[in-house]
Amino acid sequence: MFAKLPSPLLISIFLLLTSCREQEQSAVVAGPAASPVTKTTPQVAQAQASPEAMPFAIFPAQTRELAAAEVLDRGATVYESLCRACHGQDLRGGDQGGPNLLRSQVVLNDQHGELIGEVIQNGRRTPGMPEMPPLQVSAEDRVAVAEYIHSVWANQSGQGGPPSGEEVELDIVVGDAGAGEAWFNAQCTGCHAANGDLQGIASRIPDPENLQNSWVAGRRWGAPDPNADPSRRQVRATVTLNNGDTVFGVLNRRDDFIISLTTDAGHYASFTLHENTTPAVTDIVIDDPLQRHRDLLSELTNDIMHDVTAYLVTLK
Amino acid sequence: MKNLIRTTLTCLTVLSAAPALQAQVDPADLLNPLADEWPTYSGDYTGQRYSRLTQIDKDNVQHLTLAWTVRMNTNIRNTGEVVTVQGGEGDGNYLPPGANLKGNYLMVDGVIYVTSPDHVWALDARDGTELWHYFWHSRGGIHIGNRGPAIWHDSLFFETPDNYLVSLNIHTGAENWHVEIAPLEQQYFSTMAPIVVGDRLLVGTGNDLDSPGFLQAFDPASGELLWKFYTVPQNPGDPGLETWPNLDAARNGGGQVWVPGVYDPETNYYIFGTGNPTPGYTGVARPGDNLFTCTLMAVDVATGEMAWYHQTSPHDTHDWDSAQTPVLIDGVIDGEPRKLVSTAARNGYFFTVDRMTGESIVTKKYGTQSNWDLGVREDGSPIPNPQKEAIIPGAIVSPIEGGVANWQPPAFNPDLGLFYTHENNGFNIVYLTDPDPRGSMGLGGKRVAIVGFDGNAFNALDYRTGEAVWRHEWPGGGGVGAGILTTATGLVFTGDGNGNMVAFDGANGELLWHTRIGNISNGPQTWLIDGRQYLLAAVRDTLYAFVMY
Repeated sequence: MFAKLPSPLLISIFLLLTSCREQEQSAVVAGPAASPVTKTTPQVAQAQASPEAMPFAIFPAQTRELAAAEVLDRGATVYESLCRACHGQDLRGGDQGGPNLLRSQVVLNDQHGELIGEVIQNGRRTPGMPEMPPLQVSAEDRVAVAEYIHSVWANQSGQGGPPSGEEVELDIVVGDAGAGEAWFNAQCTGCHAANGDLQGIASRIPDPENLQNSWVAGRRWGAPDPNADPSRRQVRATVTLNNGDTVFGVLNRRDDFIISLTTDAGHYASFTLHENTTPAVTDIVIDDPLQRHRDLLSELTNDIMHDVTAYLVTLK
Repeated sequence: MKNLIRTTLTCLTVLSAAPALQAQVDPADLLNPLADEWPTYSGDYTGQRYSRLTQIDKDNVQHLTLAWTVRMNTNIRNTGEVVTVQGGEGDGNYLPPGANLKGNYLMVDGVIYVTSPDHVWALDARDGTELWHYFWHSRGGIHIGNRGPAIWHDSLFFETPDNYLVSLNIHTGAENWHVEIAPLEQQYFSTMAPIVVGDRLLVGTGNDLDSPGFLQAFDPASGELLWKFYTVPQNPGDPGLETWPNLDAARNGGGQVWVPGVYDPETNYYIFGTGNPTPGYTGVARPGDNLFTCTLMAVDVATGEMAWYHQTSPHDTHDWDSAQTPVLIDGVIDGEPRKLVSTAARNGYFFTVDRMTGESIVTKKYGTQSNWDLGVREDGSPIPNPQKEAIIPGAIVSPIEGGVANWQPPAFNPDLGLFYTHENNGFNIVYLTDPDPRGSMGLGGKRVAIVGFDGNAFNALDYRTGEAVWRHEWPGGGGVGAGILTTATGLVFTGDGNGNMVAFDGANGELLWHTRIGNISNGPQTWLIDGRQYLLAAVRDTLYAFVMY
């Protein structure tokens, strides 16, 4: 019956009606009803100046306009004295069992304290969850603490990461350097030498995580090496044709249908595969210096990987 | 979609005079096997993507011809032949994003309906001429993709990244109505192609921040919510709560429904997969199996109640959603005819399950490099290896976050009994960066380094065993993401990850045809126009239509 109502007004009225119906339907909903429908325009403070391309991800919590500094300071003080014990200093839940506020539906749906303030004032009892008692907090402070919570959200990293806080120092070097050296000597010395190409590798790649990623992948993580010799990583191919010719060069691309090379003279050459061509490719030999690294991927265990990393970090 | 139109060329000629005036889909038509048109996400309800069309075959596939190509026009146009119909709840401060074609599109009565986040287009299937364009002014959300539209009579439905279900008039693109299906404030974002079953519209959403997943049914006429099924426990006593440490963890446990499932008219079950548990990588916060995340399940379309489940990835800690489209198979197991459903999960395991009961029949690893598990339980669910969770010094894990397969639809050829799937064998080192015993949030708390791929391939699996009957390893890498189509002539179409759309002989894996149009970003589709078989595929923002003359 609504199939031909292009008028925006009628659509708005209809939207209102369906929203109401949606609320009324909650009796047949399996589980809690949908959260209250919010129709307010989101605050997009960062994009007011001029139209811009839509960023990949944008959510109200990360783009809202923050309250004034004095409100946030006041909110932080209230939070510290009344909320922290249960909900934690970083809002992610505390020792006394309060839930993580940063993923709380109340917090996420709240605009300026109207939902958070209601819970502070009246407390909350949810079956299966710790009970929250009502707290004696002024209306102004309820809004301030809500704005403070929203300000923490605004510092959230990407897709649901924790808020940026103090950097935690994590030591990834846990392996047995002696065992790693033995494994290295058995597996790697065909191409590498601790007193040769890898001499000082731990100084050139000082971050152990970057070093571990680099040696497993066979390509460098972190800052590029200005002295690196790119030819060491180049994949080379020899293509043999049925007229007796062979072509040798650096591999550009290979799929089921084509192979392309750049010869040492700098000439580009490509050959059709999988079809009756003249001349036809009769053989392809690929020389990939990183093949051993690829093969390693399925052989490595966590322990071997950690041991070898522990050894390599000693090569300063 | 009118049955009489599909049979005679005379009627098709009449149709060509006014293609946009004829199109409509009776829900009963969706029960037909995939043939001349493509009226629902997978073409039909089985998810097989098995077309009965036979014009393109092994002998002539080499002669496919490019009929037309169109780069989707995302500009908002106020004048000209096509004036953009605009809607939305946003404040208009954003320009439309470029087209991003990662879905399955519908072809009904000579018109193709295409979606991209915030956009819908109707195109003449004969030459790609744009008939109308709709643009949704967004409030935000993750614009990662849109899996396609649904059609019910003469209404088209699509979901928006800011979580609205929008109904349009398929003749004009004019908006009928829109309703909010999940709160943007809780960081939901919506990509799924809605699925019409009778007079119900099944709708899923996505979320990467610890909010619960759910499937909803709406009245396609009015947008009224009919039922809402949560995939994770929401209240004391809910089934599956015993697989979580507490109610708070379960209520924030994820399990999103973001890829269309399949429908069995015999039982009225909608069968689909659910996404990963949250927080994604820090399982310390949620010891247990975490039901019903990463689970293949059946829900009664009439009531929204779960009929059965089979968990494909208990206690996932790698963001390996198990939301991929499953496939209905009427097969034979140990000499007995069985009603089955099969799925190739992102975690590298293939499953065949009795679709009446959920009984496990096959659990078999098809990701030949997958290294994250300790085998299979008696009930057919894999056992995760705790050593392969994110740890501070790094765990070497295959597959990578994107999985062995992903949302891109598989295919099944009932003549050959073969289930086709990509097999991506990536390795990453997964570091725990947030060792807090409370766990992190969403996809946070880890750092991932992709350290290589080894042997990406395309597989034809025997649905009765999960064994590869043939396997084609892509030279020079390749693989990753394209959907799959198979036909009654034994062909298999997909993308090779090296920029080629390819056709295999589905029986033995011989490559019969290729064209280098770029990496296919959706699944190839096929239909009949004016008595000729077309093949459609998308590459990022561009459609390519091939035809057999």
